[in-house]
Amino acid sequence: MKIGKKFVVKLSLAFIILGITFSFLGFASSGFDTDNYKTNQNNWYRVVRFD
Amino acid sequence: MSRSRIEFIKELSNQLSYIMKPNEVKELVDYYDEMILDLMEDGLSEEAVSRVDSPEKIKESIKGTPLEINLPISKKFSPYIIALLILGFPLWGSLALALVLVILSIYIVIWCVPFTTGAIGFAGVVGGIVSTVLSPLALMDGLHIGITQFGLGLLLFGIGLLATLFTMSTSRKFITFSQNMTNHLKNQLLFKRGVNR
Amino acid sequence: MDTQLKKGLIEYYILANLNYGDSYGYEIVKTVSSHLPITESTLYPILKRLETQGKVITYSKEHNGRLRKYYQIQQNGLESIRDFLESWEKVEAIHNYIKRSVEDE
Repeated sequence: MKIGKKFVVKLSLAFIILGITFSFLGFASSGFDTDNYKTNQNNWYRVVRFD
Repeated sequence: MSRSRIEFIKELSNQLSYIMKPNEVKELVDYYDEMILDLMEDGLSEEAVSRVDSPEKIKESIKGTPLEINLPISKKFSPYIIALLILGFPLWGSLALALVLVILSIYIVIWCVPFTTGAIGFAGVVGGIVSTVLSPLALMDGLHIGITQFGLGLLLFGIGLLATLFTMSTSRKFITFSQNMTNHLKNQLLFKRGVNR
Repeated sequence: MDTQLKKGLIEYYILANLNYGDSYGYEIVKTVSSHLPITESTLYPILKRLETQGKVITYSKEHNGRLRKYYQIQQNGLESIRDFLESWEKVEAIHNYIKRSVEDE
């Protein structure tokens, strides 16, 4: 099956929009406060951290 | 219908100018002109032109034979020029080096774009996947942290995918562009050499 | 005679022709064509090749108010003729071999 270029563009745009939405939701549920991310933030699996 | 000598010569130089260098065309045209004049002198005043091959046929026969390559080695340099070249090395050497570096930098600049997008693409895709896969673990630290990490992962993956696609679709253009540029440079260098002999 | 064989001989015929004396395009065509098939168009690449190989040189001479290109044989060309003549023994051997194949039948 050949994946069209347009499809990949749409897919990646969908990922970007979805990603922005989820990040916003996550950040909103933290109360827009970076201090709420401090717990265990140096664990190996953590991608989001604020130093 | 018989062509006149002048018409023949015009036609021949016209036909050959597309496939040969100007000095080679001149040599060949001179050769046929001399032939026609000698034929005329031999008593074939009217038919002289029709006795030799037609310009189209001559062109076809030339196409088959390989063009000679005039190697610059056969050129004879006078000792003065050699002395001048050696003495002038600090000048032309640095100029030549500058030219080479300019050309090199053009290549680097050209390849900078696909390299950068490629790197972003790779980092984005890998980072996005890692981030998304690990988000359940981050979820244990807090719901908001997990969601944020998941969202960022998706975002990174999307950006990475887009950058990879861009790199893949443009790199072919970049390749052809640099190939064209290389050919152009090569042709210019070789052509100059051919004319200078 | 076989056309391939003739083609191979033309070059030496031209060199020999020039060894009799300097000549120009039209004269060469006339002389050569009495024995071997040649046209103006086939002569040109041969002369050009001989010139680049240094077997002949060219010079221009005035004739009836125009310039004519003359060809002159060089040492290189003379050697080429000698090589050709020396290789004749081999040609004869081959000739004999071919001849015997028919006779033995």
